[in-house]
Amino acid sequence: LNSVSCTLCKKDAQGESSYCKNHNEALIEIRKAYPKWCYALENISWERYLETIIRLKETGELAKAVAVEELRLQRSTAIQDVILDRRKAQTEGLRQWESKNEFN
Amino acid sequence: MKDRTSGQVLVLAEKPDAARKIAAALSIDGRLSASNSGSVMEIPTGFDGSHYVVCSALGHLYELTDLHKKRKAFPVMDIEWVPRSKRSGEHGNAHSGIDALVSRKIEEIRRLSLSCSRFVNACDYDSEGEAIGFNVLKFATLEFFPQIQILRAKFSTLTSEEIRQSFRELTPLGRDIADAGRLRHVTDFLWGVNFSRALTMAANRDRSVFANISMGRVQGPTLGFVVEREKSRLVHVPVPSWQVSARPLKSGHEIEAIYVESPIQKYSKALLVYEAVLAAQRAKVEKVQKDLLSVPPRYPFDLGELQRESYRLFKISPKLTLSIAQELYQEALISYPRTDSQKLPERIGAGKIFDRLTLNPSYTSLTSSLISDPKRRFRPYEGPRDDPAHPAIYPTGEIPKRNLSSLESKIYDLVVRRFLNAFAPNELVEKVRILFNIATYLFSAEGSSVKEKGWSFYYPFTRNFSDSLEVSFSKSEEVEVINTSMKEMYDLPPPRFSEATLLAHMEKEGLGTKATRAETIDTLQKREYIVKSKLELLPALLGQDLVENLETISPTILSSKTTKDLELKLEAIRTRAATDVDFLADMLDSLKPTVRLLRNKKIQLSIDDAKSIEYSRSLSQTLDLGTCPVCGKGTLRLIRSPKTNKRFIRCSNGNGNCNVSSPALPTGRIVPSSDVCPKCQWPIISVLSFKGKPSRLCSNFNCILKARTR
Repeated sequence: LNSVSCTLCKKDAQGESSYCKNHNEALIEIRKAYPKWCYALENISWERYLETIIRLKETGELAKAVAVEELRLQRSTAIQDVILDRRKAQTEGLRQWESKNEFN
Repeated sequence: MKDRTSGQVLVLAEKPDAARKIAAALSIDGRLSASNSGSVMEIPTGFDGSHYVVCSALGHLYELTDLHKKRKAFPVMDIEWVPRSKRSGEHGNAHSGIDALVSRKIEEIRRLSLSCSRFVNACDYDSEGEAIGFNVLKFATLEFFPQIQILRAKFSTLTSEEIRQSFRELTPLGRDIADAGRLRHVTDFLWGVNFSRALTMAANRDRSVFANISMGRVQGPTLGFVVEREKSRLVHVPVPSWQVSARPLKSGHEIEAIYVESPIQKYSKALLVYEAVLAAQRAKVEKVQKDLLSVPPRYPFDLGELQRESYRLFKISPKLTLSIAQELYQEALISYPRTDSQKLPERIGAGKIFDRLTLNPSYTSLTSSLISDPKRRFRPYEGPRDDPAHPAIYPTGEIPKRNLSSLESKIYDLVVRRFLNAFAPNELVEKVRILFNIATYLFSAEGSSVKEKGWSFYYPFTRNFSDSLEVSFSKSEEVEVINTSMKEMYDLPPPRFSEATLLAHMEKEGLGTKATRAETIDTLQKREYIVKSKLELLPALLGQDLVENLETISPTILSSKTTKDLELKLEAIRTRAATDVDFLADMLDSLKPTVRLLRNKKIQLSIDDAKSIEYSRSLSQTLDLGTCPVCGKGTLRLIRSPKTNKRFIRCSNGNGNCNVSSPALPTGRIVPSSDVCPKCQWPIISVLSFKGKPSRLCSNFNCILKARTR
């Protein structure tokens, strides 16, 4: 009753992870290969790395699926960050305007 | 009862073909008389004056069965040996013809043993042959006549010469190999029956669609290998590397030289080398290294190597290779194929084999050339592996008495050439390595050429050493460099198993025996746990599901260690290092807890799997009769239920909610026709029974008309 499904398939998710056993293994492999890519290309960003491995024919299907999902998460997080920053700025601006008006 | 002091010798061969060969060899003139055309061959005065009666088994005449016969009960621990005919009748899948033959054989052997004073087990000399002979002896003869003298004939080829020699040197029947063989059957039966029942129960808990899951002792780990390999391919993440190459040019010939530190793991370094070499355009020869290698012949064939080579060269599956090799053995063309040995001992009489091969027009020139070669070996080049029962696979030299099929010729040719190769001299190969200095970076070009042909003349199916550099270089020489390139590469996922590589992997992991490995791979394909696609083996959905479930609930079934340990213990019994009682106790200790663990467990199979199992099981016994008159989309199919073994007709459009079905006649061959019943529109069928004329009738059991026209 308490089990959580994998984000990518219907199987049960593993522990803290949002993926099942197989997709979680793919995520581990992706994370393990990232330092090697960083060494080879001298600091490639996580997002660029994911984009690259998705395009390669040598990448396994499970790894590709996880990379696509991670990229989606990365981008949505980045967008959320921007929205949050804007909201913060707006709130800050409003506060400043209010304090200014109050002062006046 | 007949006189038991008459001195008749009852000889038991494993199969009828082998029995005929043995009987012919035992007769004085080496031929079978016209009166000896039946299943029992009597030679009143054999080559040594003995009175021989030769009969054969049909492989295993006795098999194991569950004493209690409750299909849903497990663990099963009470088992017994019963005649094969009795066992196949239990599950409703009786092969009446074979069963009757098995019963007749047992009766025949029992009858013959009444008048014999000696019993010679002349089945193939391995654990299976020993077990076959031992069971026949125990259940068909010795049970009643314990005073029979029991002997063993040991031979590796079915040539008259070797069979006679083995009958001159008959040994008392040892029980060690037979015990090991019988215990292997017991182990496989107990593991198979218990795990299959437990897994079937676990898979069908809370399910509407029945899925029958079978799993053997060696099948589990083998399936595990295939699934594991596929998984490592699916999660593979490639890492980039680079290779810089340049092409030095001399006298119009260009050769490829590769940067010695390739593959380069860092892009910036690869770019640095590439740009420097591109700018340099000249290469200086730093070093020219020439090595003369003496390459020894390939080892003589053991079964695994023969299966790998025939797959590599002709894509013949390991199972088919074994069956062809067995056929060639039964025709006395090659030695016994189920061997692990890579040795050709003196007793095989290589000289005589050469003489006989010279008489075969296909090998006259090849054999004569080897015999006349002053450098030829007088002792064959052998591998490290040995088998106490049989030598490596070798040709007997006998000329085939019929035209061999294309595949048989290929396998026979491989065996002959590999045998000749073992006596051929080493191959002298010159390896050349040239180091070029291009803009302070070292590049290397390699090539090799055969200086003196040796064994590859006889066995040309191996690596070619003729990739020579075509042009020679001297030290400090300067040459022009053209076509500098930088190639980006990604490491590849591990390759999928082919039948040959999976067989090699099983061998490396100590799974199964030389005789059973190919069969195991075949069974996994038949059960649709793995599928073959373009010569590669992939796990099917059902296989994947099973392994994923078992990894969690019962990893022992997939563990190669457990199976490997059992194989080692069986080997210990063969060599008398352990007793059967200890073995059985150990085996049951490891089996019981694993099976009990599965009691309340549930295996999650996707519904598609269950449907596919049911569908594939029934598909093997279906016959399309015509279009369904009710839905008009599906086809009416005659299906034999795997559960009840009864025939019925059903619409193939079951998924589209068409529930049309009808019982079918239980016996007779049903032949579809293009006609339909005028009353109910169901297809008209012809039923051919064993006796009487064929009947034409409507396939609908409930048809009112049921018009029968003869």
